[in-house]
Amino acid sequence: MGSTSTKIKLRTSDQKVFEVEKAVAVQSQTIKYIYENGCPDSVIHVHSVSGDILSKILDYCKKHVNSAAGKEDISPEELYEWDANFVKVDQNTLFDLILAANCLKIESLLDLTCQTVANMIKGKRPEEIRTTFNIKNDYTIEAEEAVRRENKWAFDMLGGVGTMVIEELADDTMSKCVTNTKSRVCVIAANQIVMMRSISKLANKKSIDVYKQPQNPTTPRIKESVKQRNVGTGFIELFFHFKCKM
Amino acid sequence: MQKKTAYSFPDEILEHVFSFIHSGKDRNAASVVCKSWYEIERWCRRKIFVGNCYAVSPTMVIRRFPDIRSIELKGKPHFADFNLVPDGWGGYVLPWISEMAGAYPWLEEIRLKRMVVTDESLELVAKSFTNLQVLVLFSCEGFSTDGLAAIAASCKNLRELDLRDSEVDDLSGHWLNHFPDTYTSLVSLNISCLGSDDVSFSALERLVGRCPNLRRLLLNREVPLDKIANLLSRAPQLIEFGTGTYAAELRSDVYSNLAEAFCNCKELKCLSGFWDAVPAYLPVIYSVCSRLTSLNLSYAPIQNPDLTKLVSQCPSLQRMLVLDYIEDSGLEVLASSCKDLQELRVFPSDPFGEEPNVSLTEKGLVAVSSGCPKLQSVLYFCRQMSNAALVTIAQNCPNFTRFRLCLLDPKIADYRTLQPLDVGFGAIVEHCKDLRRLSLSGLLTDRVFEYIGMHAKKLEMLSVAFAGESDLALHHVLSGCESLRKLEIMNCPFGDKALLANAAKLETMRSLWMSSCSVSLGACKMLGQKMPRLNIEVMDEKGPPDSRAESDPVDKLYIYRSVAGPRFDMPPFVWTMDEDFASELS
Repeated sequence: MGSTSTKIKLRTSDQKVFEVEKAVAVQSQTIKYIYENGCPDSVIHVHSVSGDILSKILDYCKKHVNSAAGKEDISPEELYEWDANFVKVDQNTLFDLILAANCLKIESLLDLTCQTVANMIKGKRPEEIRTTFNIKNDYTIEAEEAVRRENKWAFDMLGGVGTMVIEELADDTMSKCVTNTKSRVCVIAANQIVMMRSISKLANKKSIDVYKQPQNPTTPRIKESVKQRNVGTGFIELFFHFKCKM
Repeated sequence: MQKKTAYSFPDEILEHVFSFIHSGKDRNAASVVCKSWYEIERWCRRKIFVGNCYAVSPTMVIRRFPDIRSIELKGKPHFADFNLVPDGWGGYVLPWISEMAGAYPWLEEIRLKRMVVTDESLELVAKSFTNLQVLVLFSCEGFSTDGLAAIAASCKNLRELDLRDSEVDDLSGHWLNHFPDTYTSLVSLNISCLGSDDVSFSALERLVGRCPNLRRLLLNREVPLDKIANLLSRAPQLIEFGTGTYAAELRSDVYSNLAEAFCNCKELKCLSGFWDAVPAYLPVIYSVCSRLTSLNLSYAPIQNPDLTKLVSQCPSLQRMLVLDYIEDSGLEVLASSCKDLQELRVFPSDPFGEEPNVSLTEKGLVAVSSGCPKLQSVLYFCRQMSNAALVTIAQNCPNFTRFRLCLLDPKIADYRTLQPLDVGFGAIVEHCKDLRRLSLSGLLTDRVFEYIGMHAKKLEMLSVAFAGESDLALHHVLSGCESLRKLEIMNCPFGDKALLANAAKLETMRSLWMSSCSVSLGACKMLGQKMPRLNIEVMDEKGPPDSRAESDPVDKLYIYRSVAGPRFDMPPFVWTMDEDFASELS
C-alpha cells in the first residue's frame, strides 16, 4: 500500500473516533504538526472539536483535497458553489466551525467561515448587528453618541457623489471571486483587465490561481502566471477591468 | 436554542472577520456595536476617507486608527473650482503629512482633492513613506516639479501618480529623470495638467519603455502628435491613453505610424487629450473605436460631420465628454449608436459669446435620454431649455443619479412658455428617485425648492445659483431633503430665517456654502452661539465683520460640522463665528 492511503485516527472532545486519509487530515496544520512530530500510529486528540463539527470539517477537507488532486471533476465555480452551500448552516454551527478551523489551523476554511460572518455584518446598522449576534451594547449613551458622531462627521462617505476612489470591480463574477474567502481561484473573462486598487480585498491571501476564460467556451482554461508581492500584508496584484465612480 | 454570542471568539478571529469588511460605512457600523468591537476594528482599519480635512484633526485620526495604509483627504469647498475661494483660504496638507510621517510609516496610498500641497510636503512624503504606491493630487496646487522629483527619486514602489487638474509650477522638465533606471513599477501616470517645460520627452519615453505594467498614460498638451506613435509602440498594453496636442500638418508617414500604433494597442478602452484636434488625424483611432468605453473630446474643437462620424463608430461607449460642437444632430447619432452610454458631459465651446455659435439645444439631451436606457449621469451646458423637455427627459431616465444642467444665461425662462423652469426640475426630482446630485439653473422660483424638498429624498449634493425668491426656498430644502450632505448656493436672496430655523439640520450635513446671498452677520453670530459644534466661517476680503452692522450681509459663508473644533490656520479674511467671537472683539 502506498503512502497516499495512510490513515490517521482522530478522537474528538465527545470521544468519537474518525479514521481519515492522511492527505485529508493534514489540511489542518495543527494535525499535520502533531502527526509529523509525534508517533504516527497513535490517535490524535482534537480536544476542542466535537464529532459533528469534525465530521463536517472532514467533508470540507476531503472535497478540497480531491478537487485539487484532480480526483474529482469539479470546476472552480462548482467548488465555489459547494463552499457556499457548506456554510449555509445555523449560527451556532457556523461559530463552532470558525473556532474549530482556527484551532485546527485550516486557513481556507477559516477564510470561508469568516467571510460568511462578515457578510452577515455588511449593510447592517449597529443595532441589527447586535441582534444578529446577540451582543450586549456596553457603551454608555454619551460614549456611543460620541463614536457615532465621529464616524459620521469625520469618516462619512457619500453614496457616489464625486468620490474619486476607484475601487469597485466592474464584473459581478469578479467581485464574487475576490470576496469569496476560500477562493484560490479567480476566473476572468478573456481580454478583461481590471485595476486592483483596493489591496485589502485580497489581504491575507498568500497565493491565488488565476484562470483566464477564453472566449470560445470549449477551449480549456489557461492558467495565468501570477505576480506575488509581499509588502507586509502579502497581497497579489492582478489586473482587471475597472469602473470609475465619478 | 440560545444563540451563541460573538464574545466567545478570540480577538484574532474577529479581526480576521473584519479583514473581509472593506467599506468605511460597514466598519463604522461595526465600531458602534460594542466597545471590544470598536477596539478590534480600529486596530485593523487600513483605509480612511476624510471628506473635509477640517472635520477632524490628524491627531484624532492617528489616535483612533494606529495603522492606516490608505488615506483620502478633501480640502477646499467645491466652489473653489469657480475661483470663489480666495488664495490662502486653507486646505493645507502639510500638518497631515507631518503627523502621519511618524505614525504611518507603512502608508501606501495618498489621495488628495483640492488641497494645498507644497514641495516641502512632497519631500516629506518621499522621505517618510518608502512604501508609497499611489499618489493622487486631484485639483491641488502649491507645488512644483521639484516636489515631483523628490517623489520620483524615492518612491520605489510607486504604481500610480495622478496629477489631474492640479496647478504645478514648472521649474524643470527633468523631474522625470529622477525615476531611477531600476524603477519599473509604474501602472498609471497622469501628467495632463503639466505645462510646457515640465516634461522631458526622452525621459518619458525611457520610463514608458521600461514599465511593462503601464496601463494608463495621460500626456500633457505639449507632447506633439508625431511623438505619440513611438510612445504607444513601447506600451501596447495600455488600457487608457490621453494624447497631447492632436494637431499637425498631415504627413503620410506620421499618419500611418500613428494608425499602426493605435491598432497594436489591443486593450485600449479609454481615450482623452485631443487638444486642438484636427479632423485629418481622427481616422487613425478608428481601429480602437469599437472597443472604446470612454472618450473625452472636451478639448477637441472638431465639428460635424467628422465628430458625428467618429461617434457613430463607438458602440461600446459608456462615458462621453464632448464640446457642444456635437450639436443636436450629433447627439441624435450618439443616441442611436451608443446604447451602453451611462455618462454624458457636453461643454460649451463659446460660453461668453452673445449669440449661439452652434445648434445645441434641449433637443440633443432629449434624444440621448430617449435612446440611451442606461444613462445615469449628465452634465449639460446649453442656451435654452423648456419644462416640456425636462419632463420628457425625467420620464425617459428615472435612473439618473447625477443631473447637472447649466444654462449659459443663468436666469433664462422656458423658451417656449416663458415660465420658470420649476415644473421641469420638479419632474426630474419626482421621477428620478435615486438622484444623488443636482445642479439647477434657469429662471426658478421658490416652487422648485418645494418640489425638491418633497421628492429628492436621496439627494446628497445640491448646487444652486440665481434662483428662488425667499427664505422659504432654503427652508424647503433644509427641512425636506433627508439625505442632503453638501449644499452650495450663490447669488440667491436667502436666508437668515431659513438658516436659523434649520440650524440643527446643519449638523447632519458635511458642509454649506453660501456666497452673495442675504445672510446677515447677526444671523451668523447667532448661529455660532446656537451651534457650537459647527464651524461657521465668514469670509470677507473687504474687512473684519466687527466693523460693520449686524444686518449687513456677509460676502461668503462656509459652515461645516467638525469634531476638531475651530481651525487656527485661517487667513486674515476668514473669521469663525464661535461663542467667543463677540466677546473676543470687544
